[in-house]
Amino acid sequence: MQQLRRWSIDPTAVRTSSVYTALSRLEDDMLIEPRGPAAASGTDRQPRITYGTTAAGEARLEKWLATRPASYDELRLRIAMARPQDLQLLIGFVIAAEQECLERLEEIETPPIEALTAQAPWEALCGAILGTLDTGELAGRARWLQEARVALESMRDHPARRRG
Amino acid sequence: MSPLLSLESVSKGFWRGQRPVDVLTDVSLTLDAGELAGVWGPRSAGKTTLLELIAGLQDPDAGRVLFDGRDLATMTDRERSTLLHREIGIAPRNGPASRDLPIDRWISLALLDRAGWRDGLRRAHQALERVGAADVARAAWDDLSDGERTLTSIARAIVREPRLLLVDDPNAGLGLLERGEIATLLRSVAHDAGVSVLVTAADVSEIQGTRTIWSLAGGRLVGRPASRRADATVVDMAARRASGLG
Repeated sequence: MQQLRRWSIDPTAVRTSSVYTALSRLEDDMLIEPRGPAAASGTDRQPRITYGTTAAGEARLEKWLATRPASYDELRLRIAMARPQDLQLLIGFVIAAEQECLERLEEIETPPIEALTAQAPWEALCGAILGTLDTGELAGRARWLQEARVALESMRDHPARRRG
Repeated sequence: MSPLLSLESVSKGFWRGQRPVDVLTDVSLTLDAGELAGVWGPRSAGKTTLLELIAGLQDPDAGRVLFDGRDLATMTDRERSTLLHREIGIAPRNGPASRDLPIDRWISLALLDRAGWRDGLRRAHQALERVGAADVARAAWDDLSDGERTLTSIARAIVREPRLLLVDDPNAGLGLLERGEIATLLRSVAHDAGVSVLVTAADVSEIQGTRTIWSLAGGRLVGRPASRRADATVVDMAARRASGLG
C-alpha cells in the first residue's frame, strides 16, 4: 500500500480484498509464486507472504512494459514499473503522449474570452467555464509530460549524473 | 504545397566558458503560408535562438533552414538582409532607442528604404489601426502598457507586409484579456493576410488557439509528426469549408 502511494495511486481507492483477488489470479496463472517461508510479521496478525514473479511472469511484465500505453493511467504505471534499462522505451512513450496531448490542445475549441468576462448568456458562461477546465487539464498534462521528457532525456544524454 | 519555412534536423550549441551547451538538438519543423503556430517551453529552452536561426541572424551548426525552398546557408549577406527586410517581420521586444520618439514615427522608420516619410507615416497609422492601437500613435514607448507595447511591436513588424511574422514571447506579463486580444490579432494576421506566424511563449496556456503547438524543452522540439500534420491540414480546411469559414 505504501508502494501504491509512491506510484501516485490513491491507496484508499484500492480495496484490500481486490488485492488478494488479483494475487490469487496471478498465482493461478503461474505468473507469481510465494517466496520463502512465511515470516511472522511481529504482531499477532496473519503471517506475511512475499510473492515473486515466475519466469512466465517476468516475460509477461517485459511484454507489458514494451506495449505502448493506451491511456494516461497506463503511462503512469509504466513509469512506476520501469527499470533503468527501460529508459529509452519510456522516453518513446512520453514523447508519444506529449504529441498526442499537443494534438488535442490544437483541436480543442478555445472558449471565446468574452464569455468569461462580459454579460454573456448563461449557457455560454457555463460552456466557457467547462472549456477552460478541459484546456487547463490538457495544459497541465502538457507541462508534466514536457518536464518528464526533459528529465528522462537528460538521464540518457548525461548518464554520469545518474546516481544509484 | 511546399511549406514557406522548414527546418531540417537543425542543431545549435554554444560555449558557456569551458562547457559546450546544446541549445537545439535535431529540431525539424515546417510552417505553411498562413499558418499560426506556437512554440512553448521554459526559459532558456532555446526559443529565441530558434527564432534567430529562422531569421538568418544565426547559423545552425548542423541541419538546414529553408525559406520558401531556399537554404539560408547558400544566401549572400545581401540576400539575407533583403530576406530580413522584405519577407520576415520580427516584433521587436525593445522599443525605439530614442525613448521619446512617437510610436507612429518609430513604426514608419521601418519603411525608410521603400517609402517617403509622409507615405511611411500613413502606413504606420494603418498598421496601428490594424492592431487596434491607433490611440497610442503619438505616445512614447515608456508611456505604453505592456499590452500596448506588444501590439505596437507587432504593428512595427507587419508594416513591411512580411510573409513570415516572428513574435517572441508577446504575452509576458499580460493578463487574460490582453492575451485574448493578442491571440485574436495574430489569428487574423494569419488567416486574413495569409502571413505565417510563429509565436513563442513560456507556458502552453499562452498559445492555446494556435493551429500548431510545439513543445521545446531540453533543446528538443516535440509536436504533431509531419505525417499527421499533412492530414490535419486537409481536415482543417475541409472543416472550415463545411462550417462556412473557409
